[in-house]
Amino acid sequence: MKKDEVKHWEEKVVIYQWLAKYYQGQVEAGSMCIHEIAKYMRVDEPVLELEETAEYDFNRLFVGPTKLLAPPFESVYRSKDRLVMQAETLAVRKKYAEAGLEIQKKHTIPDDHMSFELVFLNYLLIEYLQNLEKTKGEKLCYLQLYQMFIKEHLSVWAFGHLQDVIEKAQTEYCRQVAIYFSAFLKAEKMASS
Amino acid sequence: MAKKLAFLVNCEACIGCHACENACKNEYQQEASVRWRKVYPMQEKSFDVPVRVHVSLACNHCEEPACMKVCPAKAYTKREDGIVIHDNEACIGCKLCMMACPYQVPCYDKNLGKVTKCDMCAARQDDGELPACVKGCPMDALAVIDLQEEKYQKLKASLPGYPKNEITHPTTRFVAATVGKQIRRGEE
Amino acid sequence: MDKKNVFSRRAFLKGSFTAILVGTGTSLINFDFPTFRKITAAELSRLKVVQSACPRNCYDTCSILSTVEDGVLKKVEGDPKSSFTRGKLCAKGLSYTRSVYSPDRIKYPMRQVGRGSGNWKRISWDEAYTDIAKQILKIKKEYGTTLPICLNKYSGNLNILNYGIEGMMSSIGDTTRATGTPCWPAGIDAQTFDFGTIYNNDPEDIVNSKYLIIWGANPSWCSVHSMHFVKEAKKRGCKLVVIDPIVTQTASKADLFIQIKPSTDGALALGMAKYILDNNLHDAAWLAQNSKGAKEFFDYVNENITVTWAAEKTGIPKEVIEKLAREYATTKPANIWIGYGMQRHTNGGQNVRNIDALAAMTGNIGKSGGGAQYAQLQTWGFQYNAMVQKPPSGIESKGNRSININNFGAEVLNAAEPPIKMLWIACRSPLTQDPEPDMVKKAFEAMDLVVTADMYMNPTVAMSDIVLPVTTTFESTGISVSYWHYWLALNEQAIKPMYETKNDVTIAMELSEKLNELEQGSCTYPTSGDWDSWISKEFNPAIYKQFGMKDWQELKEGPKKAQTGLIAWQDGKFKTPSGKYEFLSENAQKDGHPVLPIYVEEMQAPKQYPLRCLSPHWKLSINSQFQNLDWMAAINNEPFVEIHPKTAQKYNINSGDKVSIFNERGEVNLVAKLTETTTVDTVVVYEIWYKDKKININTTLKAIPSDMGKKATGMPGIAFHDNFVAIKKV
Repeated sequence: MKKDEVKHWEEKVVIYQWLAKYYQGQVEAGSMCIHEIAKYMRVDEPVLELEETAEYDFNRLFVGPTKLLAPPFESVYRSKDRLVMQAETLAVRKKYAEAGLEIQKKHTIPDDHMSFELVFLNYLLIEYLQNLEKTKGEKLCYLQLYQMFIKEHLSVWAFGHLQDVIEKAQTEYCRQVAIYFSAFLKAEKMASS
Repeated sequence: MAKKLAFLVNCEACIGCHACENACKNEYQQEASVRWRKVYPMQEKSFDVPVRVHVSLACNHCEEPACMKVCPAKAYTKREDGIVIHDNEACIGCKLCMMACPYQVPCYDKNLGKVTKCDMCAARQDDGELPACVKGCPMDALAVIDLQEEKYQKLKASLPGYPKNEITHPTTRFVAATVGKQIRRGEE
Repeated sequence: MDKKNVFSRRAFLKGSFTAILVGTGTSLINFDFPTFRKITAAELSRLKVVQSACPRNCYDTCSILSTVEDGVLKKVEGDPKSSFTRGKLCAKGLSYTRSVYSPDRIKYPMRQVGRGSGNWKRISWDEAYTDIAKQILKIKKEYGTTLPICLNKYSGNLNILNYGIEGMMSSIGDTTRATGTPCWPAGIDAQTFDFGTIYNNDPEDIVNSKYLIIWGANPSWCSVHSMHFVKEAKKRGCKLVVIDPIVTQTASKADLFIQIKPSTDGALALGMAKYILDNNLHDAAWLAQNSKGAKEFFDYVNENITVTWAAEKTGIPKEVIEKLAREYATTKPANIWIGYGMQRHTNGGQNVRNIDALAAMTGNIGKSGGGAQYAQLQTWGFQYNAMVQKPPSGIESKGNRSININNFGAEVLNAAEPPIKMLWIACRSPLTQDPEPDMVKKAFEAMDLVVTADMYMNPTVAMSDIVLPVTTTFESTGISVSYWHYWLALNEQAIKPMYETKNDVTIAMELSEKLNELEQGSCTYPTSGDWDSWISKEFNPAIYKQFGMKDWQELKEGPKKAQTGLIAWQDGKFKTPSGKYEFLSENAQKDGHPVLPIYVEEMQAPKQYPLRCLSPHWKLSINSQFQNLDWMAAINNEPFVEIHPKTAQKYNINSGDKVSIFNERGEVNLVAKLTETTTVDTVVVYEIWYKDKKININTTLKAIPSDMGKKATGMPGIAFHDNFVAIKKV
């Protein structure tokens, strides 16, 4: 793989890491998400201020205690009743198992929380890049799983989720993170087909 | 000789508690709007005095199922024991069966993009277990009966307000609710 | 797509995940992966069935078998080992999976920045404990006492271990407690005066009754398992009579339904008593042996009561009362089930005394198939180890301060010397369940800190500063018994607590640790203890003997039933001062009540609010629980009011119209359902909390006390059903 191709992949790794941090609850990571995505996609980035209200907005969207406006769980968007720990959650758990992984907070936090899915993709990308020197089979399996996971999981539900965020966010901060994430995901989806 | 399985709904024993509905849901965890068994309140005017009477209805496993007749994907089959089974794999989600069924039995499951319905817990019965609704009713108001048996021949096949049986010949049988005496206050 | 696992073992046995690419000159950010761990073996699907117990405030307190697969609760079923549960659950119990996995569950401790603002910050448990502990210590310093801290805890979770919440309060010093109960206190006092305490026959004994009066209770909705035994009794020749102001579901099952004017039940009982006396149908022998004050009572009845009077009072024809009296007195054994709804009136307690008197004078007490069933606490003789805690050393306990749970808002605001400055709310939702919710809200607003432990966002949580997410039954462990049947069940932990939820005892232990960290010795609550030891400490020799057990671990095999005392008062040893059934109760008199079960006038409707609004329990919810679940909402999600067609016509209301139910306290808008199951002067609004609707019938409800409740529960009850309203089309 050529050097600038590798750099391209590395930038993606960084993006997934920042997005994962954001969804893990580090609201301030959102601006880094936007910055890295803008850099990667060679677009402008907005001038944003991180105000205290962004934290309230973030909680209203993703955390609680009120009814979540954009629950960051795959099964919520893929099952009509928007429940967690459903068949879809267990399907994602199986995908992690295919890569020999399980989440540490198994049974306490649903496996299909956005942060886990992002960390998972991050892991697959890193493994792929670390194995570039290896045989085709050993490195491509990571690539395949990564592409499959985007195609069959993340991109199936995340757009609906991000649309909810864009519509329901009360701060520009949270909304912009969703807009940039959405654009990035679109590119990822196209690249994975 | 093959049995002719059917639901027996005893409205006399029934207390309209909806446990049967949720017993089915609990077993199969369908999404909320998919109700394979529903408890319907009967109209007050069906009786001489105002009472709360309910009828618990799932699939009637008809002798001539309308769903089977109209399904373009051949997703419905009637087993030898009478249970009408819907094949989720074959289903194309066209909803023709929903329009054809006089009893509004098939449900559209938005998760699957297909129709689903009560199958009298065929798999459970094959394992020697009762359907979840039958097992779950606190009043034992539901049962699975064999219509071939003599003692079930005289049971009612419909209730007031029920669609005409002559279309599909539903197999569900009923014991009607009786109503006791009421001393109600005047209406001045 | 190749779904086969193509990864080799070797590929995974790498070091940490902090990936720094070699040879590219770029380094990625240091990113630890605490989120994942490697698994070394294929995940086996593990299926297990666990003993659970429903800890709700419900007669039936079911024994449950929970199916757990790979750590996920898959389904629940009633436990066939309990001859009361009989392997069945109600619609609510069957929806438990929707509760555990609802995305609406509160997941983390959170702090609201500005009470009621809707702006919540996520905090860690440590931060939550620190904030709370600091506030407690601050209050203690400022006021020299912890009395400004007030606990409002009731029956959302009746797990015996949940009394650890009261224990937590006791362990910091004297506190203010919302005392009493909204539920059943008037009747408890009545039975306390008459019998010495509440005590019912094993409900499974109902099958032996030959005459059963269900009086102001609706077990078809509120105790579904009991209805099986009622059905069985009927099969064996029992006549079922239901007395109620409206045609309830249970009334629809009666051989005879008698519609009574609300709150006049005592008059009916006394009318029956008069007929029984006139016709010499009372059990003189039983009375001579077992009662005190029968003569005084009979004198009262003979001098003051006529069946004609009773007929007029109750709206029930004379001949019906007479026939009822004759049948009740001459059919043996005859049973009366006194409902809690029936005593939610200003004369509720007295009405229960009147009905008890009927059972006593016909000799139906202490017999299989007989009785005056209300409730029992016979099976509740635990150690309450979780609850009983000493105050910190150096603090002289003068006792907790009590305020009336049924007048919470006003009494919080009026508390003085010291005032109330902090609230801890658990197993309760005052802002949906209390009368005068506007006063309750004002009380919340006056606090320095409001802490609520709950599972879902509701109006009470919305007005709190800190919310602590708690576990469901399935994520916790404990013991459950019923105030009706005689079974004891162990609740084993079925699944791990979701997110960061904790149970109330864990919270107590950890808060204690934090308090002691900030100020050594400020809290005596144990800071550690495994669940087995917490549970075993609740048991004592008496309970073991009662249930025929040697060790609580036997409950892991299944629930156990009490082996003795299943027929109330069978030994004739009443717990009254005289040791007899007391028609004449000096204890009642001491508390300011009539000494005899005379009739006490019912509350009348004021002119401008001529309609009585009953707010009974609903079949698909229990107070503020269950209606918020998706399966329940799929059955019904529209608040409605039941109105008689003639009344509706008077106000030009058609079925399905939006109507306003209002009085000087407040107003609610509901959809009208026309039905002849109610009467022209009564409307019915079931008390249900709908999570997405701002509708609360209690906004029209004044905190009118019922006559009794103080003796046994510390405070009078509340006359929920003495709410008078007007109606108009919206």
